[in-house]
Amino acid sequence: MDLYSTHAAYVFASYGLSALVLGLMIAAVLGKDRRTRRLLTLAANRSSPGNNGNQTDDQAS
Amino acid sequence: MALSSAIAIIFRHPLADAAAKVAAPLGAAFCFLALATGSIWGKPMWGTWWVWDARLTSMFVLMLLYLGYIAVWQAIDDPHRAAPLARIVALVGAINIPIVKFSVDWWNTLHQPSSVLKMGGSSIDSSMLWPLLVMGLAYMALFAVLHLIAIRTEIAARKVRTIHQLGIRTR
Repeated sequence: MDLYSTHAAYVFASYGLSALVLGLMIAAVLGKDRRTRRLLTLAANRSSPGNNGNQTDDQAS
Repeated sequence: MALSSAIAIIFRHPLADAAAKVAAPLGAAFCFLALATGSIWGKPMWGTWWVWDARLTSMFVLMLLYLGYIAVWQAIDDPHRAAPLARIVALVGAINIPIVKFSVDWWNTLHQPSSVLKMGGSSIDSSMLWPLLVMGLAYMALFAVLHLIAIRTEIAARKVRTIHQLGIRTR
């Protein structure tokens, strides 16, 4: 491989790694946010007065 | 994180610890990315993936500090007991920030001296400086957005924990 091809390979490896790490980080943050807020909704429904504690979100609504 | 920890100690603001706690994984990811992509850059430019030079070593120490801070929160179940220890780790770890910044000026190792923020203006050509600044801003904006979302998540998690604790007490 010539010099430009070699350097291009390093550049794209760098881009690929950045995209992978940033993608995983964004997915982790958004995924945890969604899961936690769903848990909060469930916990709030269960703890509300008159609720028998066995209802899901859909049943409660 | 150090600023939030200082605010938590001085003003006892309830969100300060949460802000510091959720910034750590983001910081660790960015730090890993800087080390890894720097290493990929170093191979064609310096001819080596890694050397224990001042900047690289101080960045590696920063990475370990992030992991140590995260480990403190993970190791102690009770957040009220973990928070004071985590604050100390963050504040002691902040000592490393000027070491990272000035390492290339204090020690004459493989890494080039300061070239962006230096007396007399930047020594980088504008064709590289502007993309660097734009990407720097983009990374800061991404961090800000993810940090705000993560703080919201942490607040929701605290509410869930409180509801569970109240539920257990009233049963």
